[in-house]
Amino acid sequence: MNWWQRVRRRWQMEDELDAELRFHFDRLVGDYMASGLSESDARQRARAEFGGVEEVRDACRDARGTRWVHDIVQDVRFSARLLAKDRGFTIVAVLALALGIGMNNAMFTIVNALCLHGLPIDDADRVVDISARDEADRAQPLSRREFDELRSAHSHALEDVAAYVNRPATLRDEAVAAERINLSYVSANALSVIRQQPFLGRAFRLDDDGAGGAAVVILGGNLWRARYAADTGIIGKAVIINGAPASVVGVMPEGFRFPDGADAWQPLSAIQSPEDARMLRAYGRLASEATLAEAQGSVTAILQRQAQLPPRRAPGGAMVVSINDRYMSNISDPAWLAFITAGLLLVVIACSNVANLLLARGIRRGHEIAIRLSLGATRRRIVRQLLVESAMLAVCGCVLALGISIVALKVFWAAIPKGGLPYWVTLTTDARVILVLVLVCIGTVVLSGVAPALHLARTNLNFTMKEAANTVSAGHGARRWTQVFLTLQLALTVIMLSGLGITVRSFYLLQHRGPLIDTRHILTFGITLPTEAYRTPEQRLAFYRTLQERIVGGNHEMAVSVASALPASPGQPRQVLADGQDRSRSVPVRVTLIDDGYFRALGVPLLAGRPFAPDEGASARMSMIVNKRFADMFLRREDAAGQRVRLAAAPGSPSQADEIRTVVGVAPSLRQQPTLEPDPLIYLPLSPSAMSTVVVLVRTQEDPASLASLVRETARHIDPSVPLYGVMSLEDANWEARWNARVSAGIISTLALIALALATVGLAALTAHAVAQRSRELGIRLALGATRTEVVSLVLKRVLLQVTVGLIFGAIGAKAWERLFGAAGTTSAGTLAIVSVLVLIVTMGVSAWPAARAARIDPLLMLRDQ
Amino acid sequence: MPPKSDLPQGTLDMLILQVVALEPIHGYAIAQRIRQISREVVQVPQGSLYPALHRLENRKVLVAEWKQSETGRDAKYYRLTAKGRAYLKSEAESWERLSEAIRLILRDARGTAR
Repeated sequence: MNWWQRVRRRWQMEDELDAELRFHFDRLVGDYMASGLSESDARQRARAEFGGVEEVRDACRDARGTRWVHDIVQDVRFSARLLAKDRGFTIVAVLALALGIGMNNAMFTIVNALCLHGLPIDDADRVVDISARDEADRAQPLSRREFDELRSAHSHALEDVAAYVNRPATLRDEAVAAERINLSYVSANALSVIRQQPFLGRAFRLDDDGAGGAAVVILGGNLWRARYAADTGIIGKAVIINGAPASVVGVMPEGFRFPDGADAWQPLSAIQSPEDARMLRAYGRLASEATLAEAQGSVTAILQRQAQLPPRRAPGGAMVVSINDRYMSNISDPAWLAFITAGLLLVVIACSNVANLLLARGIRRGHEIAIRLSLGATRRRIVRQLLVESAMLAVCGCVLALGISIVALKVFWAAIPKGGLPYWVTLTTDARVILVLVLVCIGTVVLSGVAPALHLARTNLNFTMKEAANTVSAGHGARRWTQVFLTLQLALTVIMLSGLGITVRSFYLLQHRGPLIDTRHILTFGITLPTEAYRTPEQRLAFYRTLQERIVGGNHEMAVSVASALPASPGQPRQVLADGQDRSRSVPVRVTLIDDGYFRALGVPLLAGRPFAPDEGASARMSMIVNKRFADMFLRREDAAGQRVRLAAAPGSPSQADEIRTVVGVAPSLRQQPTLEPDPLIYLPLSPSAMSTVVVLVRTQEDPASLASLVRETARHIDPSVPLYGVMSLEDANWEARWNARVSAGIISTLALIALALATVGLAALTAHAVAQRSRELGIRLALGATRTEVVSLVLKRVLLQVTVGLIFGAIGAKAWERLFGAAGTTSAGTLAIVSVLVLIVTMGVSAWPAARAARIDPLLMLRDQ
Repeated sequence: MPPKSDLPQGTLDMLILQVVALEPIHGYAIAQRIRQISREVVQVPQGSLYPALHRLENRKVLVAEWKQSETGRDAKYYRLTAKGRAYLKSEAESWERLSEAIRLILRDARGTAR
């Protein structure tokens, strides 16, 4: 019989042991009777020789090697009975643990999805992202020429290289209204490099991606299901993309939206671009046994060979990183570390809460433990039983935590607008999440259970047995532990709350600083023009003008503006050469292209200078409008208008030359991002390029929603092949755009409030317990003439001391947090003061109740009780 | 009756294995056999015999099965495993080395004392 069978067949083992011992005994008796003794004498003799049967039996059970299992089963049963009896304690402890572990698990699931999980590509570790590097070591897209060079050079370190460029596009066919989609133009090998196959039809062939090839398209599974009702007969049919027909050759599996949430893919040859415009993103697969460093070296060599040729250069060579590193957030980023730490701190708060509850409860159990010790239980056994109790609390907590985590993640997911997160983010509970959950659960037992268990098992037998059970006073040890846990809890709560304070403050700043746009009276929507039908800027501009005129329709209270991005979105990056021509010292700023009516539509007057003219940019004079922040950063103090600024060429533009532009106006700093300082921003005239995807802002006196159908109708009237999307008020658009700040604030405040609640409940329970402990002492004081006020202040004084110590450590911790996670200077003394006062009020408030109960002690009753 | 001796620590296992090595045998017979072979010098404490047997069984040095005994009643018979045989051999050898050494020391000590 192996060990496991011995564990399971416990009763059979017992029966066999009985039979074996009885056989021995009976034979002994038989032998004595054979030697002439009477039966009773023989039995007596045998019993004397054999010794205590129970002891032998017990020794045999020890020898079996399965005893600890049965002991633990016994401990579990015993603990379960105790926990069921002490229901209030159990519920509070399990809830505390579940909240801590559950929130932590939810946060780790998010971190896992965004930082660790990896892209849903086979063998993603071998796929690398390739870009050129500029003078300042920043990643740059590749030009077509560079990509061709790279591919034909056959780097020994790369198996294959593919390229893509993402563009919004229009999709239309006979059946359904025109729609805007995210189109990825890819090289023919794009799918094979990442080892993906269409789920219907075929991938692109080399001859698809070349001049004169028939126009083809591969549809994404999501689009195929939503727009074509998962019609398997779609292969070979034509759809109209950007105004030109293309036949569907394949359908990708649902959920595959590589590289950046693509809805459909077309060959790279379908997009016309100058050879030297830097617009391609490239990725490749490492050759077997090649390393990232080899690929880096090889691609750098190829690009620098290319750089000899004018006019486009990649002076810094290449930048080759793992594709997971490019797409996934970096977990060692201070913001993510702070996120993870906050989750773990909450677990620690919950654990110290439970540890304190266990200690307080343990003091009541001193008598029981003393009895068990005096009846022969070893201290080890006692510690084990107490740890089993903690483990049971932790396991119950973990199970409940899973539920809490699921709910929290649902709420989190619902708070994010569609398309807010990259397509590959899925909040899955994978092996890594489970492993962390189990580790946290074990950590919980250690953190919350070990100190109380060790402390209680040290119970002094004589001392405890002599005292009546209810007068056992907490030893110094217990009080010290309680103090430590309580201080820890309060300090961590202060750290969490000051984090909340920072968020609230920046939110407040965002809402109340800078000019207010009346976002409720502005309707916004996006337009993507089919590029085939609107090839030139003039054609596109003509469409926008017509749309503007028809929407306004002579109503002078309305204003319509076309721009490249909404006020709340970041806009395109551009480099300002603040220091003459030194490229390595260029400063990134954001660009928004606007027309002449932009500031009028927003209802924001310029601070200085003039807005753009309707034909701005048509003239040779290069003009720009900057925001106040930009003016403060880059312009001389005197009159801003007329000053000149040197800009590096726009990424993706065919021209390589720097632009020198003259400032014609200064706009107030409309906050683009929820940062404390607004970003420096420049506005350039829209008309020269008049891109095919723009946003439109319509200022109206009415409710924007009532305008939506009019706008749609107007656009359809001009050209039914132009899709409108994202039709909503600017208020709603801002709300969506700021989901990130909102969700972060939501997470921080949830954590901070849970921390405060746990700390408060813990403190209240401990104060109540302390009052119960000291009831005899307090009774004597009352009997000797202490007033009730004195008794109350006696109780509260100790609470105040504990809270103060916690607050001091908390303030130190908040400062340390700031330094650790690079948010230096954000925790102001004001925030800390507010947080401290809040904690003081709440904790003193909840302690007042047990303190008041102390004052109601009837001294007579108390003393007679002894 | 010659004077009885307590068993030195750790030797009970070896004696049990030696007896079991001869043939499959039950607990009572093991005790009897040890007493008989040692000419009544070694008294196996009945209380420690069974825990020792079970421990050895747990360590897979012995295996047991229930069989009819000579009296007709079922008894638990112990048998040596291959592992047990090897273990017994090494134990016996080390015991012989030890007892020889002790014998030498005692003889020398007596010699010098005289």
